[in-house]
Amino acid sequence: MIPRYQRILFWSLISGILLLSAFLIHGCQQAHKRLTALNEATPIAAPTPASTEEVTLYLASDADATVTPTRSQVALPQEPSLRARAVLEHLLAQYALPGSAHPLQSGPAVDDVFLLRNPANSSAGQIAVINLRGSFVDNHPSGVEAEQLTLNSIIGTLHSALPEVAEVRFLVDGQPHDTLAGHASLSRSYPLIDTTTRPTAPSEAATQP
Amino acid sequence: MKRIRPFTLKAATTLILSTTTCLSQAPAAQPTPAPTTTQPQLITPAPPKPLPAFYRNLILLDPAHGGPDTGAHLPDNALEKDVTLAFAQRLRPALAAQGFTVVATRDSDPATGLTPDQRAGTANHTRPLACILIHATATGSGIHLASSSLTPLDDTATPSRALAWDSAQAPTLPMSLRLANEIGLALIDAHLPVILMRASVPPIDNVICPAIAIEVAPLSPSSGNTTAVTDAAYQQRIADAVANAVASFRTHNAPPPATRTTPGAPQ
Repeated sequence: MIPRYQRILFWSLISGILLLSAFLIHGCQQAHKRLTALNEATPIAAPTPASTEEVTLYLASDADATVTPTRSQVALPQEPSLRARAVLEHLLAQYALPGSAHPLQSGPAVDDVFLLRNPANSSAGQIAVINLRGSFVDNHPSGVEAEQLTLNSIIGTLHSALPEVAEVRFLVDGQPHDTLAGHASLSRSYPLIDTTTRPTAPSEAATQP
Repeated sequence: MKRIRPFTLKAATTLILSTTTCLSQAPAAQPTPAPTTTQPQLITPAPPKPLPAFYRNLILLDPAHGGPDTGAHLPDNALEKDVTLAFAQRLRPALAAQGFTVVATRDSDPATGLTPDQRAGTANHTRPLACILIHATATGSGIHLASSSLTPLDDTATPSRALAWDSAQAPTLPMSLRLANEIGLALIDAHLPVILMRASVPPIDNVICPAIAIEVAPLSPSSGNTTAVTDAAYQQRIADAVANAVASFRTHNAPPPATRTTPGAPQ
């Protein structure tokens, strides 16, 4: 026979457990609601109108060290820095396709593109600062030819998309970086020009001073 | 206490030797006229002899990377820093056979690598006829010859007494392009594929000598096996062709004094 006081204690403990469980479940539901409300309150980027446009991509080839302009259709925003970033991402994505003449690893490559006014000469055109991702730089093939072709490809394509920009500088993860992958310099600024390159053969005539 | 690097001592020694053995291209200093009067005069020291533009028998080799900077990782676990050093060691005797004195920025794999500015400092201090930067890669095919991507100076530009460090190569760029062309022709004669290009490879923009970057890539013929950059015979073919080309460059751009003709001088 179970004593009466033990039965009372048992049922009291059971009641306490149920009450605590109900309290915990209620607390979890409240926390979930609060977090959900926070997520919904986070501002999202305003949609940018992007219409498909024809752009010129300067595509590089490792076989003969050429850079060739090629037409392509891309959806581009109107804001210039977003436009530059979209064009460059589209360009570098071409190199990750199978059969690329200048193979690069796939993945995001450009973090931001900033367009600045030239502090030395305001009439000299804007300066573009391209902030490359560290992952892109770390996985880039190492070599003079491969790295310089990537830079020439970026420079030519940016020149075509934003002709008002006069020169370009490069950062990697927001910091200055000496070279792209050990060879082509990223510490200097490059003039934004047409970088179309055709194969050049050495000639006897060019040996004389 | 500041340590003196071995390569600095070697470069300085070579400079002294070259001064005595190599030909100076600068005009000789004018002799000081003897005093004609017996009155005591203040003796003014002769102006220091200007340094020559370059020494026509001196070549600087710069095997890229070294130390903790391994360069590219090539197939068969080869490192670019080792391939560049091996190629430089093949190129050195080939150049010596053409009568050149060779200075290298490194002869071994140092514990601490040289910065590009230190390499440029060595090149600018020794004033060689040509600076050859050596690289190796796994991409592309054949030999890539890169000259600086700086814009050559305009002929009408007023020469400045001081050169900007970042564009020190600009005045010499026409000679660098001729050097690249000479080496390209010699490599084609040796039946090796060549690509001429322009690139900003540190420290090529900072050197005042005619400079070129030679990048050795695998030899991938359309039919047949690929030759790796570590192949000794392949490296030797390149080294022999480069040495011949540099000798030809010296003949065209820095002829010896015996063949120089002075207007009005007796033949």
